[in-house]
Amino acid sequence: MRSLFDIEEERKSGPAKFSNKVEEFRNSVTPDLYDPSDFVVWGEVKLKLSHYHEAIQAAQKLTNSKSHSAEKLDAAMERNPEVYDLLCSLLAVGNSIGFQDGRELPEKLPRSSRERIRIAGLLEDIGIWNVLVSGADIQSMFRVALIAQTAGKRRFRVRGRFESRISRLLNLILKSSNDSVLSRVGVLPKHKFPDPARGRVDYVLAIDGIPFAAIATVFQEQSGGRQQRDLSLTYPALQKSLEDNSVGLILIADGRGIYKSPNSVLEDLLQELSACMTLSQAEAGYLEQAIATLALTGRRELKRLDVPLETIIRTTLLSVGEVSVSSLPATNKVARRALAQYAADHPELALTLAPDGAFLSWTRFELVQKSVNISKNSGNKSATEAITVVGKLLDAKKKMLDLGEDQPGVFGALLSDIRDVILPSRMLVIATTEDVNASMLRRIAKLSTRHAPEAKLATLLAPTTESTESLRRLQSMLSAAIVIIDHNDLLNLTRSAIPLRDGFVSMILERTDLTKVSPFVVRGVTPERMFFGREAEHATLISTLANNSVALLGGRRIGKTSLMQRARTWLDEANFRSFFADCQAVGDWNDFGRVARREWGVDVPQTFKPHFLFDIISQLGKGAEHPPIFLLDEIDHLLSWDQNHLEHGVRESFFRSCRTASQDGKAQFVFSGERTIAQRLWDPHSPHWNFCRPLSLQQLSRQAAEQLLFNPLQSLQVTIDEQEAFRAAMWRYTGGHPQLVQSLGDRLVKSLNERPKEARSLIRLKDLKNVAECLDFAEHYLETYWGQATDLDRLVSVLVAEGIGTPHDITRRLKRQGITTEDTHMVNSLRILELYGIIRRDGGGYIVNAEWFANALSYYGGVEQVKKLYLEKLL
Amino acid sequence: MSSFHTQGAVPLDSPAYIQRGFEERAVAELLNQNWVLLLGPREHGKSSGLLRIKAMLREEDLTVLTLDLQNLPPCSTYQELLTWVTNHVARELDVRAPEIYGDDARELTRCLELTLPKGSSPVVIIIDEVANIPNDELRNSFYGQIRGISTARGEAPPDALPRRLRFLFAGMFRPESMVHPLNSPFNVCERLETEDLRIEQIRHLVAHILRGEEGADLDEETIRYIDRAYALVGGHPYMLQYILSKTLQVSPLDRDTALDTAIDTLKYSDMHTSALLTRVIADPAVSRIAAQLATQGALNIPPGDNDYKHICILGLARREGTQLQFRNNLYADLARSSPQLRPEESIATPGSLVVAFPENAFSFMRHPGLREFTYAAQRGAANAFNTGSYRLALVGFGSAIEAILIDWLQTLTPAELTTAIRSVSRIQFNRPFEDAVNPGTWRLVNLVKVSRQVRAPSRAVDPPEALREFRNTVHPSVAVATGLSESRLLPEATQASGFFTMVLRDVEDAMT
Repeated sequence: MRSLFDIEEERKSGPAKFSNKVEEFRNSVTPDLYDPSDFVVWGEVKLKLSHYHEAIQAAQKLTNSKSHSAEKLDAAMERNPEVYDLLCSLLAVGNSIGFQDGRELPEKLPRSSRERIRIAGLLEDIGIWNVLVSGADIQSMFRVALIAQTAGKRRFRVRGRFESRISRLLNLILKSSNDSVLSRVGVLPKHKFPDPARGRVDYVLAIDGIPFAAIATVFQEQSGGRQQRDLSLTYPALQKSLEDNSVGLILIADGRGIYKSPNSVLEDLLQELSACMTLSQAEAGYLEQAIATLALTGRRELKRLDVPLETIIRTTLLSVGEVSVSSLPATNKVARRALAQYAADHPELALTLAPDGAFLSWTRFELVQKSVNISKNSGNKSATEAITVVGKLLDAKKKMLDLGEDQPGVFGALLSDIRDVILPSRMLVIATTEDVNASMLRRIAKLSTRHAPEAKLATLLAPTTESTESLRRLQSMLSAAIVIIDHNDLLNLTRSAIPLRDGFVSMILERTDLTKVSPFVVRGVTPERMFFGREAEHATLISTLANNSVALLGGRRIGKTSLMQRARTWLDEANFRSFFADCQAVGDWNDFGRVARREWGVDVPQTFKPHFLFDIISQLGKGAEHPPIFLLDEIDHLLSWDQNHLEHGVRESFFRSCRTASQDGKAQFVFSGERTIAQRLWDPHSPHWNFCRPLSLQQLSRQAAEQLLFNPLQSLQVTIDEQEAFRAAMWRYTGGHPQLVQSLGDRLVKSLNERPKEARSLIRLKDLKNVAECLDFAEHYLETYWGQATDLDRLVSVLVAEGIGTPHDITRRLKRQGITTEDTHMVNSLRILELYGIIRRDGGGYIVNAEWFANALSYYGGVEQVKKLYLEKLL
Repeated sequence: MSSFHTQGAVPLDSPAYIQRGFEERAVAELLNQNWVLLLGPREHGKSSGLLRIKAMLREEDLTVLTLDLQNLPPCSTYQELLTWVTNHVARELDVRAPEIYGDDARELTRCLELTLPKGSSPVVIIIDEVANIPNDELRNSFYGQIRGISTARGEAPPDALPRRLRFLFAGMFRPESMVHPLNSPFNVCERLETEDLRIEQIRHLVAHILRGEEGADLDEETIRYIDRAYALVGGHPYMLQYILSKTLQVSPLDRDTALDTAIDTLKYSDMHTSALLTRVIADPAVSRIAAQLATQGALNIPPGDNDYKHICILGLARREGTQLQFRNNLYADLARSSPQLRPEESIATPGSLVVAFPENAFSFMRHPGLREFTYAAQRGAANAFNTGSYRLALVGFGSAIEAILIDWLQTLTPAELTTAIRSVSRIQFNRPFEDAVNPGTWRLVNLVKVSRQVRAPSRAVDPPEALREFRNTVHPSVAVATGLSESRLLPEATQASGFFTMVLRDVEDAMT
């Protein structure tokens, strides 16, 4: 086998010899990588034939019928919309196609009968009957059409095969090598690629985190202008950019297009790149040689430190905490270079090199020194010092606690003002000189309950720890999870380049009951730290409230109350005076009066009448620049009561008073509620509700949903693998419903909690699938989306999922099943389902908006089965 | 030697106790500052579990209070209810109850603030028998204010009461309809359900009771009896312990007989099964599911359906994935042979159990006297049936049906009544005793004829022809004339209980 050294030597030895190398390169090109076994993916073809079985039969029937007409086509497509897909396949229509006369063959068959008839006519004009000729075998024709359809994917399979062979090869080289240099080589994650390499190479190799080689791959199936440009310009230019970062480029190029490239192009390529080879050359050992060469003597010219110098620097740092040039046994120039090299070789350590290079020390010198002292001594002083270090580590205020004389060797402090997504704002820190055991943890949890009852986390500092599984399991039965940190951990934390807070949280991630530190809020109001998105709602609220009121409508757990509570802050920032009341328990006017007295300190009689609202406004509005704004959360209950009670013979007098106050500009209101308020706003017979602008609170934007899931997990120091696919899957499982996003997050944290400590820092796509693709989540998904939906609403949503989208068609289908509904009920059902985000308008009808809805139903036997169950309930 | 516990909560110091999974889960949730909703059937270990949950939380230095609403006296105002709560809390804490006036006396938060010890230490309040506030308005206010505490948790400062309080609600009830759904604190709780015992837990318990030590070996015969009991009642703690206490603590020679007797007692004369069946038939939606289950053996559950959830909470059924099944074979037998669950099928087996409807099942009736009469008559009929007095059962059910018809017809407008009378092809009023405008004076024959002609919104009410026969057995001469002895009247009595259930259902639907 020839090595890369040989190639280098031969390149240097003259053009004749080098042209031999070009020939060798060309001759080793693999023209293509097709494999007969998957040239046609028969499984996929058969699956589709089976799926379209009924549509094939329907089309066959059309073929066999004596008369041909657009009506027949239309009828067949109405009965089975998949007939349309099949006909499109037979006509080789892939995506939607527009015709010059304005007609169109859409990708999906529309539900409107008018549209369908137009399409049937268009199919006829195109000549569909020339395909559906008498005696034609539709199944055979469709099979051929499917083979043609799937042919386009063959290139991807070839490319995939090429890439996976390289990936396997690289893995083999790096994992099984006994070479002392190669065994230190690692593949960098994509986000750590040097800038010029991003998106342009497949792998970047590094030693100790420092990149030295990049591998790009290209498979050209044909030769042309673009392909030549890539070979003669793109890769040489990339090599130059990488050189600036001391990284060499290895190109693995193959395919018929490469074979046909002119000699001059290939010669340049072989000369200008660090290494260039075909796949078979790479597999024959060239790749391993190229990597080894670059690692040892490549362009980066890695020069390992003089070993004695490195040892001196390390030991001095560990013992003294700082190293100066003058303390090293070398010339000034060599010593400076050694210090700089040491810092560069240890990016994992928090080291600071003096601007003139004469001095290297720990960035957190003082903390490191303290930690060193603590680790050397295990007495009482060390214990209290350890608490100080943790306080500084978290940038918190510290107050030492008197734990009494019955706790010898145990010291405690309360840390406060901690501002963090994961950590509590107040936290108990205990330091002990004793060995850690279960009863000590119980005592600390109790102390935490006493001194920081709201905190679910406490810290225990001990000289040494052997955190056993039983101690970890015990944590779920304590009032606070306890992260146990030993003195060595403290030393590592302070020396590490990882931010102190992140290092601390990493220990929490590994060592405690994660359910207690899970930042996800699955029940109750979302705190500010977990509030993402809603920028549009913010803008609408502020702009509307200047002279109008707002009715915030939304389904269950969509975040109405959280938004109301955020709105108080927004209004304060916009110089409005806001008054919030939770009206959940307000069932009548007197209850409202009581809440107003309690929450806003106004003076109104015990027996509250709606017109007293003006007294409240007058008391609260005194001397203010702007009229007061009342945020009344969950008013459905009060509204129901108001609708059914009279004042001076008038119904809904409380909300009529709100309307008058709003229209007179004396006050504005933000109401939140669900069904009752929505139906009042949609009711054409209640025009007095026009003082409110309805603001539908629906699912989060994709970006906000991603932040809601990703930010807390990242704060917990959890890495998410396969991010793009993970984001897409999260979006599919939740549709942006904030409760579902948080629920998924919580389930992921719980699944991490079940793992051993070393496996807790990474979440993969399959973990997300595990927590989402199960009956439990499907049930939660449906219950959350359906919320307060009635059985009729639920049935309607299932019918929409089945493809019946217009109110008329739904009513007709229900009637056929024996269920008669009034048009207004049907319209209300559809509007409620739209408000809940389950369906959305599409032309004249509705389609399912919640992408995973049908998947969730499949856990209950699918659309057909669930429809049957709800029909049985309603009949 | 310890003994089986078949009455009340198992004391904390009893060694004969199997720790249940829900206890640790509830404690973990409460320690994690979550609220808990604990649901489970009667005699399924809730009370014993709550005792232990309380003890475990106190071990962690939490203040834990129990409000058992079973002890709540009748309250006519919300203030009275809160006064009882305040006094109860003060008594548990061994402090003097504060005097609370004005608005504060109608605010749960204020009452608790003024009663609980100052500071920031957490307080867990266990509310047992949640459903025991009969007045809708008071119940909605009470739980609505508790829900308000949950909402306030999001923004309250760390030391404020909403952040200190954690609730555990326990009982056997429908959380979705106990209070207005928007005011419900149960929506913000971690929902837990009591679970059946596993076979190995039962063997462990029996070993402990019989041998007095953990891990003691059981002989094969004892294991055989445990397995037989388990095959019949599954892991239901009360029923299992009942059967095993009656079987294993007698001489080995008498065990088979004792086992059969215990099973019969459970089926036909134990309060546990009759109370369960009463709750099932009193809830039309649940009753319909039970009837379908009895016919089909298993049912597919619609997603998130509360009726299906409730039948599990009542204990009759359990969920297996997306399917509903009877919780155990004994319940399955009872349901399949119940003429009240399956009235249309006229099941007549000597083993059928007939239960009385609870008083609130007749709340749709307008006339208080007729309502009381109907309730008493059907209760007497059910008791008579279960003790083999079928003739009395016929009279009772017949009279109860008659009273329901009178009450219903009396609610019709004169125009509706006249229309119905005119629709009867042949009707004769025996004047002056019968007054055509007052159904209360009518003979049974006319009540039946006119009832059938009344237009009902859903389906027609169709009182049975045999009603007169049932009712007339009250006359000794008529009874003798039938020539049937008491025991041979089982089919008729079974049919009568079924007819009663149908008429009750249909008239209630017509009136509501």
